[in-house]
Amino acid sequence: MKKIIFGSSLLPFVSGILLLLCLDAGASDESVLDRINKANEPFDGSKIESAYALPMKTVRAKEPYQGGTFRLLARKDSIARFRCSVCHTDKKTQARDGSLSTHGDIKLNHGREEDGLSCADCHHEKEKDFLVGKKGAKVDFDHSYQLCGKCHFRQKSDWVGGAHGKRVKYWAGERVINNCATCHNPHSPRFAKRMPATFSLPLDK
Amino acid sequence: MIDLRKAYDRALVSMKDAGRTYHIILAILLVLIAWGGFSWIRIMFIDGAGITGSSDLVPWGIYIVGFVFFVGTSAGASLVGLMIHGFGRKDYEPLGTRAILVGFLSLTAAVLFLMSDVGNPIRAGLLPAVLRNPTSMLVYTSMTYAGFAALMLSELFFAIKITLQGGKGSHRDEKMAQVLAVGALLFALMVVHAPHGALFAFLKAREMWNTPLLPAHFVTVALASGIAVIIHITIVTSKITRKEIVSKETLSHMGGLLAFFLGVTLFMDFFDYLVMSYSGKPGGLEIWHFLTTDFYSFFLINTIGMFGAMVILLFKRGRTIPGLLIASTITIIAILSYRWNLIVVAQIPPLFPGTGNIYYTPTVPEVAVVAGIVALISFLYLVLTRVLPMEETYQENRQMTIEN
Amino acid sequence: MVSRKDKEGQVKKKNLLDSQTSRRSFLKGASIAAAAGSAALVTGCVPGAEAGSSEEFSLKWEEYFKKHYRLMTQEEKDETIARLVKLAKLQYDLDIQMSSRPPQEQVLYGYAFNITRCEGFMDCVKACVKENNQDRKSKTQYIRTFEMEPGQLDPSTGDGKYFHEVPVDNKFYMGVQCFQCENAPCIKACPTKATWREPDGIVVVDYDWCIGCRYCMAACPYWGRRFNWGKPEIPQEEINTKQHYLGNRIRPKGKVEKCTFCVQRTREGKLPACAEACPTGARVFGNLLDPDSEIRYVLKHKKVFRMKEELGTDPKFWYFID
Repeated sequence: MKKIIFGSSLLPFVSGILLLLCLDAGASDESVLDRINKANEPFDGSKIESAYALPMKTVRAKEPYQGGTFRLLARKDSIARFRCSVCHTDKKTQARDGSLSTHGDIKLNHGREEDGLSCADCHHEKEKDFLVGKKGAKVDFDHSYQLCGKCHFRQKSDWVGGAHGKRVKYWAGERVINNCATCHNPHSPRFAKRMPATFSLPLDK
Repeated sequence: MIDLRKAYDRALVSMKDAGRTYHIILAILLVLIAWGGFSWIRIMFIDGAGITGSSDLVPWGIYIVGFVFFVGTSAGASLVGLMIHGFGRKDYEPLGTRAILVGFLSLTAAVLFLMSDVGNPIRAGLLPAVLRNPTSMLVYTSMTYAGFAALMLSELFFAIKITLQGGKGSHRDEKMAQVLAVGALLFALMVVHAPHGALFAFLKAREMWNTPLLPAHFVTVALASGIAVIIHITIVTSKITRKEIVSKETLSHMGGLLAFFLGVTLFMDFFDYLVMSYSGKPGGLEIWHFLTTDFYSFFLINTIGMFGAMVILLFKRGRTIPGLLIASTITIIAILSYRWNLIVVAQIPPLFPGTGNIYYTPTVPEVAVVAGIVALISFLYLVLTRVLPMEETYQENRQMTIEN
Repeated sequence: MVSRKDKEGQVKKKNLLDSQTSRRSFLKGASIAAAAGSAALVTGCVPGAEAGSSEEFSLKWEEYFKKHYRLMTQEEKDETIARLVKLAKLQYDLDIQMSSRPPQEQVLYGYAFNITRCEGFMDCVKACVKENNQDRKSKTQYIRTFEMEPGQLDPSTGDGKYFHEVPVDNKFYMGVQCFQCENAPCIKACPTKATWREPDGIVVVDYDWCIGCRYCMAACPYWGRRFNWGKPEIPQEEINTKQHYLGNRIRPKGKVEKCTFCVQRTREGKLPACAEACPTGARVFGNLLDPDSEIRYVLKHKKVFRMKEELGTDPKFWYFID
């Protein structure tokens, strides 16, 4: 009788120890951070063959990314009346239906009031097809980050690194990211307030 | 040895003799069973569990409350066996078969509750046998049911065998009964019920569950609920049949045991809540808040009920038949509300309070299933106590059969 | 609804023609004798005209006896997918593509969430619901966004029920979802091994092995799991037909589901639907084992934190501040 009592009360302890052993065997011995710190081999993006090139037009950025290169969405194609120099010649012109066919509707809402930004702060005064960079350098519309980064240098370095902005569609394959103007309207860069796209069910009754 | 033909005749006579009220109760129970079965099929196969009160925020509801309560009761009911065979208290003997039946039927109810809770009952029955996860406590607990049921069935076999031999079995049978009784209790507490505490205690997601006291707590609550149910049933049965099953002294002794287990439970409860509140873990405070505001009624029933029952039973004067009846009823209600607190209230504080507090209320189909399951085991209990040779009625019944 | 039913009938009859041969061919490899036997029984006894419904039955019957996903060989996976595609055709009248694409080596998915950038537009939630074929009736959502008061950094204190114009000044927004823990409590809790962590770090569910006990839901400290309280209801034209066995295939009733980082997309090299839909770029997704990835840049250069790190669940989802 004593044996039985003794034996059966041992049972939970034995099974508990077994359980702990199983837990030990099942748990991965490395934490995520250990694994991350160990991994120094760049991942070959071409291994995922389904991450093919995008149908959109892209350009190679003039900035290094993690020692390599990356691409960003081209901008010029999505500007409705590019090239600017078609109208903005040296001669003075008169536009008929000015409000429609020009961009007189643009309201500049960029920067603080006291900054007093004007068109010429970003657009090149002489070369109308370009933006203006450091020391009056010409900046291509496709590489507007060179201009934006003049003030928003922190955002720019985050954008180059990957903490600001986003990749287009694929995490694998060659890195293609949105350009500044894909998300921000350069004349009014803040996101407009709007209603959320959906809602979660109010769960309390 | 056992004449089946005779046993059948006797059972038939016994059922016929039971009286009108008995048959009416059986009929009502049958209606309840049908209602529950219908709702069960509706929930499982037609409408889905969406018609129950559970939701993604409170995934477990009244089924698990019932499940834990009945698992506890089945474990606690084994104590009577230990009293008879382990401690040699022969005055408990008339309760032997009854206690085993209560235990076995409670386990049946618990398994049925589990089967009502899962989304896929058929797979739930098959799969743990096929691909068990060794790190899941649920696997171990569900694996123990078969063993426990087998233990109780063999216990029942020997109890009946001894009864049929006029209350005194052969040496071998007595020895077997003894081994089984002690084994069943240890198995029930250590292997079946303490792991049920661990089942919840392992979940670090919920502060109220994640306490090392919980398995021990489960054991004492199980013993208390098992004894309370048996006291209750014994007194009610002897009131109805106007026959004394066990002596007042035995009942009084059981009342003392109940008081002891209630005391231990309250003691652990007190320090559990004290540590939870004092250490000020956010989840713990949250639960304390819910227990004292929105769910104060359950909390009060739980603590005051247990405390009140304990106080009644502590005094010799309280351990009279009416006192015992009241105390055991209060205990059953208090333990039910303790289980409710443990399962439902623990889930109420959402993991992200910004989602809003969701209050779980059982719906009609859910209640129907619960009623059906309870009706089913009550039905089986009523029939089996009539049909099987119970210790205290056997001699009389045999006389009657012979006369007929 | 009526027209859909009619269509279903026609499709069933049409399907009969091409099903006879293909069924036999994929039965060849059936590993479980019971499944094979029963299917043979059905093909043998039931006259052709009624095969529409009996085919559905026999497909479901075979489905019932299939193995656990991790124990299947590639052929068995192809067979069950062929069955599921057929069932989708019968049940929803849709041509779906289902993949069982395995994880890539040297890949461990990770996620970073920029608290500064999120504006609470909830485009991620909408895209997630659509991508993952979630039940529209109960409005199941994997992602929850919270509107936070300044001075708090714990989404559990935010308001998760806002529906007004966002962003509100002086508030910030935070999303929660399944954090794909490396040491996940849900995996430990599941009694049937129906949920596990894939080598690329995604915690997935084999919906056919889930018994619906919801122990994982009770075990998850992040409220990362959802239960199918009924059969998912999705308008037929909104069903995403590009599905993955472990991902967004339409779940049966009574099973637990969860965010899988859009396994059907990410294993193809795409971003998860939420990251792609995010209009503010607050969601950064990538390969944690690639030192050149954006997520690694965030972990290296930004101040990051994880939710309830003290629980030791080791989630692969970080929050960061610009």
